[in-house]
Amino acid sequence: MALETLEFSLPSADAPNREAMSHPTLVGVVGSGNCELLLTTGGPSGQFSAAVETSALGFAPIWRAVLDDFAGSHAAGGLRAEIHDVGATPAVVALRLGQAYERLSQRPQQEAAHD
Amino acid sequence: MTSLLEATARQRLEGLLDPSSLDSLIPLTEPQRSPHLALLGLPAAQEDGVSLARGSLAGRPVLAAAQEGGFLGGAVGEVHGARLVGLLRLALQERPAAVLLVWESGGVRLHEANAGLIAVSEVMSALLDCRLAGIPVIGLVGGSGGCFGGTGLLARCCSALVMSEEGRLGMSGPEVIETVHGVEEFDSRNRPLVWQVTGGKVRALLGEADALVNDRLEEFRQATIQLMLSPSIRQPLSREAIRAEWRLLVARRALLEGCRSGEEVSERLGLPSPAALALLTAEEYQAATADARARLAGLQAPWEEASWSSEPPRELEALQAVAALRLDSLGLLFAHPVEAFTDGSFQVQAICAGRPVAVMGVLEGAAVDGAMALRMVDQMLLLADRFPGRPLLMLLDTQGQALRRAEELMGLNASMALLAKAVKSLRAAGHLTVSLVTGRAVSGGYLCTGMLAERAFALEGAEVSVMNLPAMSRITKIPLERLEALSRESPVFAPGSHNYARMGHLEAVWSGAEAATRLAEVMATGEARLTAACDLRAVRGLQRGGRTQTAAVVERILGPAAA
Repeated sequence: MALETLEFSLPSADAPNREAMSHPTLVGVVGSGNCELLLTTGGPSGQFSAAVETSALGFAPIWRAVLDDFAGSHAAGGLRAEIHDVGATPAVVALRLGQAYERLSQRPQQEAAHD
Repeated sequence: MTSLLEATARQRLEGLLDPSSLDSLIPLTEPQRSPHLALLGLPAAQEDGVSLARGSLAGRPVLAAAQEGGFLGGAVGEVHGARLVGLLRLALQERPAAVLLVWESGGVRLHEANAGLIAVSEVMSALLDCRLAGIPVIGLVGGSGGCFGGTGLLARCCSALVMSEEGRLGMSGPEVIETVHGVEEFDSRNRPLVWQVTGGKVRALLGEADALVNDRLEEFRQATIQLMLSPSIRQPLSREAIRAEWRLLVARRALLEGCRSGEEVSERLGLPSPAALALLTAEEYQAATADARARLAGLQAPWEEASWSSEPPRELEALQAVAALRLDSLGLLFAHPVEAFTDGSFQVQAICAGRPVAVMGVLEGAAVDGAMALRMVDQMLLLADRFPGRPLLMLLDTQGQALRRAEELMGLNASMALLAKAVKSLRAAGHLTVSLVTGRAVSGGYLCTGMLAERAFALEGAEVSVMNLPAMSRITKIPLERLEALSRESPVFAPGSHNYARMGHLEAVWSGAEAATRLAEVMATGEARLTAACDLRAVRGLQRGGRTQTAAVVERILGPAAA
């Protein structure tokens, strides 16, 4: 039994209110078919970075595809995602990314812990 | 999100507390994760499955925690437990209007075995310290995983409980009982039966839950506010309160003897069957059962009618002989015969190092059932009344809690939690409390007795454990060979007193030859050296290198004011 840890850095347009998005958001649950995702600011401009810890081994290319898709369709430059995964499907991962991003953008003044 | 059942832990806290009042104590970017799960190839969660918050409830300051049932069944591991301990000790400092604890858990996290058991014990100790200080601790139970095992005990240590019909509360899960005693004892796949024995409605009927609500966060919130504002909830836990609860549980056990299901309970109370009551909302159910509940709450019964046991009776003479042998080997002087009971428990007044000591215990690996727990509570209350300040020595050789459907229905977790309250109450009254594991000490049976002693010891060869490895393998789905290997490599898994010493729970392990001398040294101190609100096990575990996270996690939550 082992855990796989993966690190990605993908180009992405800078998040527009990066300075105002100063509070991290945590979504999801570390449960079967699910994942927990922590989204923070303070990363380098123009890059969306992600660290993945997963018990589902050998899916690096799929992670890259999902994260790349997110980085391309969202202004996520300067953001960082930390993901703790127990076999979530690409759809669930994309959902969590979207939820966290929406939450982070909507409530810049308050700590956004959700779902 | 309106349903508590469907909400995550964080959503539950957001739904319960006043809007925009929630702050999560530790920044979410600061992980407090399990150090033990990577070994099993499992990712750890940022908050180790329990979310914490400071906030307000109806404008009053509260501290709150919610277990995440979706992460390893909400079970309690080292860091998870430490976070709860930190919250409860913070409550002792800040004296909020209440501590809210949303329970959803299977109990001790088997993936962390020994560390999990000690963690549950530390939470229990801290929670009871809050009770002794008059800080209301309100439990909420309504998640799909229910509240079982060690957390079933913790829930019943709370000042009050709010449950929904969907919630379940008990000591041992039906699957565990079925595995050990067969499907006749408890068919875990019979959902109506499971809910008739452990569900919110039957718990409200018996008075285990103080409030029954529909599965809406807003209803949980309102019920919690009402409880928080009730004057009696601020009363510090007292011997009088323990005695009153004892009378209640004795009367319940007497009245419901022979009942093994909600059907039989309904019949005995003159109520319509559970099926007829099934479709009622919470308010309708409470209205329909109001008279029955009031009757149960006011019932009195003599102890003899409640002393029935779920386990086959043992031979008294043999028990007395075993007890006498054990007491002799420990250098204790006492008058024969030892007062023994057919369920395997015993008590005796003895002399150790020239000082009187009350000795209570369990022999021959007997199981702790409701009657044994209630008898021991009575003995501890009498000890405090008749012999103020006399030390208590608990000698333990038990297989843990009785795994019986009838016991679950009676509220085994309630009786065992009452035993835990009695031990802490003795400590608060200045009695030195010492425990010694002489044979086996398993899970719940040890949690509510020896683990709460100020000074805990074990004999060489004694086995302290959570669960046998094959059962652990079945529940966690981790291959048995892997668990066996881990038992050799990791102190977290191997049953055994030396691991519990290294992890800081046991002060020391004694060989048979030195036990009498060591015990005399301990008893010579004669009085409790520590206040009840002082649990040094985390610090000891850190010093000995067996449990390295707990102390740091607790300190971090307490912040700059950490003691």
